[in-house]
Amino acid sequence: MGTVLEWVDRISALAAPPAVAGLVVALGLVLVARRWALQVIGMAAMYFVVGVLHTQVIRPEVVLVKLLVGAVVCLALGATGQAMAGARRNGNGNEATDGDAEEAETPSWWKKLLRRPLRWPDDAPLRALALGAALLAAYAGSLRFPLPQVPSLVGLACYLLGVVGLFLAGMAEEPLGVGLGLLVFLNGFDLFFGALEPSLVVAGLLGLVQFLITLAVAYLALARTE
Amino acid sequence: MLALIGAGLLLLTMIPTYILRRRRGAALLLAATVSAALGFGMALVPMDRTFVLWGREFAVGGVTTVFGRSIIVGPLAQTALTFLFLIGAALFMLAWPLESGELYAPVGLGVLGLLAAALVVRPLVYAMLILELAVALSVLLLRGGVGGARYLTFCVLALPGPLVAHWLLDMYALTPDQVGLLHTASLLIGLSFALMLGLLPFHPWVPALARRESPLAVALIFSAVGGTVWFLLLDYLQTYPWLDQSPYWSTALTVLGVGTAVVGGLLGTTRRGWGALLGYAVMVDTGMLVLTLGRGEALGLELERAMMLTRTWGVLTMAAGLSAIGLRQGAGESEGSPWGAVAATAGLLSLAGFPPTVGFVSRWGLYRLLFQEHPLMVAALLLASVGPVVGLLRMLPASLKSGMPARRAMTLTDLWLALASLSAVGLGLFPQFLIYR
Repeated sequence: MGTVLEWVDRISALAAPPAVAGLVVALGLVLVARRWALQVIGMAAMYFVVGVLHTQVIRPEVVLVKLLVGAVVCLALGATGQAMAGARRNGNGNEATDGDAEEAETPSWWKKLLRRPLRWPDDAPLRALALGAALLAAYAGSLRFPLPQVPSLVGLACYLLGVVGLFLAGMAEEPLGVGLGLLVFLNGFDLFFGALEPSLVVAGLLGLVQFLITLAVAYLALARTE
Repeated sequence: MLALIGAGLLLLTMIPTYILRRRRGAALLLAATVSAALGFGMALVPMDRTFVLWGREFAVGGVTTVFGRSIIVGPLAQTALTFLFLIGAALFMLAWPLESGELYAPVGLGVLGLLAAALVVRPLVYAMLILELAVALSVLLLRGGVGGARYLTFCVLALPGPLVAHWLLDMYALTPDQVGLLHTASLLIGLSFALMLGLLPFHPWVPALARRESPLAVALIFSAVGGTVWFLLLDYLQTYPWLDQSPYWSTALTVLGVGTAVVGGLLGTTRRGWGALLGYAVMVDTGMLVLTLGRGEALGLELERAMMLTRTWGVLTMAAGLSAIGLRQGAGESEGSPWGAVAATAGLLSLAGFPPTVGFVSRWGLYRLLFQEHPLMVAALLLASVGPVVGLLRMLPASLKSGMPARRAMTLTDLWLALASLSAVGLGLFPQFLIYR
């Protein structure tokens, strides 16, 4: 355990600016890409970066629990995405998004991804614009209404997660997309509230809320494809 | 302590009901029995009685501490728990013949257990977190439509408000000269409850949920989850009495209440199916409840409880009727379900506050309360109530044409629906059995 905590300390030593930059990249992946695999990778990166930022406001032991919750959530999201893609390949899906329709043509999606890495969905520019707007709103918000009890860069990250989460949930066409948005939004709130209320029970309950939300959206997404 | 045992028992009963899920009848009967026993126990056992467990003495009601958190069962929580457990029992009994989902009993019990815990645990910050768990769990009862995702979204967005408000109030206790903290906390609490109750402009999830999902699952959300949100709001008002002393409080609730009721009434005139009609009727009723809350008087609060009770009766009756109609359609039968249509109509009329149904009783009280000072507002509310009835009149001919049944014996399901419909009217004629005791 001591070694793990040393690792957490070492990760925490990463300065906040790179962590916020990493957060922008991770959120960009979740918001702009529409392939479930890329979105899950983005979510995993987001949980890691939020964990790094968490170390600046709460105890490392609690951060480990949050990272564990993030890992479970990402695994569940990945399994759901794969099950949905499988159901669509078998022709059970009701409707498919651009990315998923492409996946349905060939079972080896990763080969296709390697072959044509620069092919993005048609609405990618709009989504990139939404990311830019979210960045602007988060920056302005953190300057105009700085969050109490958290360092300024952590405050910026909270705003960014909150705004991108709202955008994701609002722009989603399917329950899984809505779920990603809600989880991103909740992560932003968790990062802020962790500094206000460092109670272990609250951290545990918030983790449980995230897990149940993942379960709920996975159920909704799979029920839709059946 | 009884509340804690009740919540624990409901959560534990999830296991046998899950094992029995293929035998739906047995699972639902077990769930209904446990829920009804807890409901009657909560209503009949004196709260000041004590009992000994593992050598320690516990009070049935009062304050108990578990893992450093207070479990408080006051008169409001006792009413709320009785209400919750009895709704659960009624829903499980109705689900026996009318709901085809295997998970209704175990998930329903889980939701009720979490809601019971949310009603008694303090500080309220834990109550809100547990309520959110119940909301997420209740999504497992749905069928995967857009409504479920919207419902979850609005409820999750409501979570941060009360939690941050709790911290702001702690700050205010330390620095009482900063009145701005109180205003921000009021705003956050108000916004969160508006999201969870589906007030204007956060109403889209209400009709969307009712339109596509299983009626009895929707009934559980509107009555049990919605009822718990109302009781928690009342608890907030008791815990923080300055909330309703704000000069903006009454005005804001009046505007939101009338706005939600009028929009619900207007949308209710459209023909978008039975489910949507239930959603619009609930919107109208929610608007009335919010308006009543804004009165803030003792009579207003009494009326509030009566309205919650009559609203639940209407929702359950209508949902039972819609389930019967849906079951026949789902089975591919050409014949309609006349008793289903009767129950759906009776439930909707009750939700719309149409005489002589039970819903009219509490509405009459509200109209009398408001008429002296705000006759125009009463006129607007009356018109709003007419909206879902107009929608019903537009729906009924098509429903009746869709297949009149040949003569056949009355089934147990028909008897159930007939009883629910008759009780909605009977309690309207003799309301002293339900309210005004």
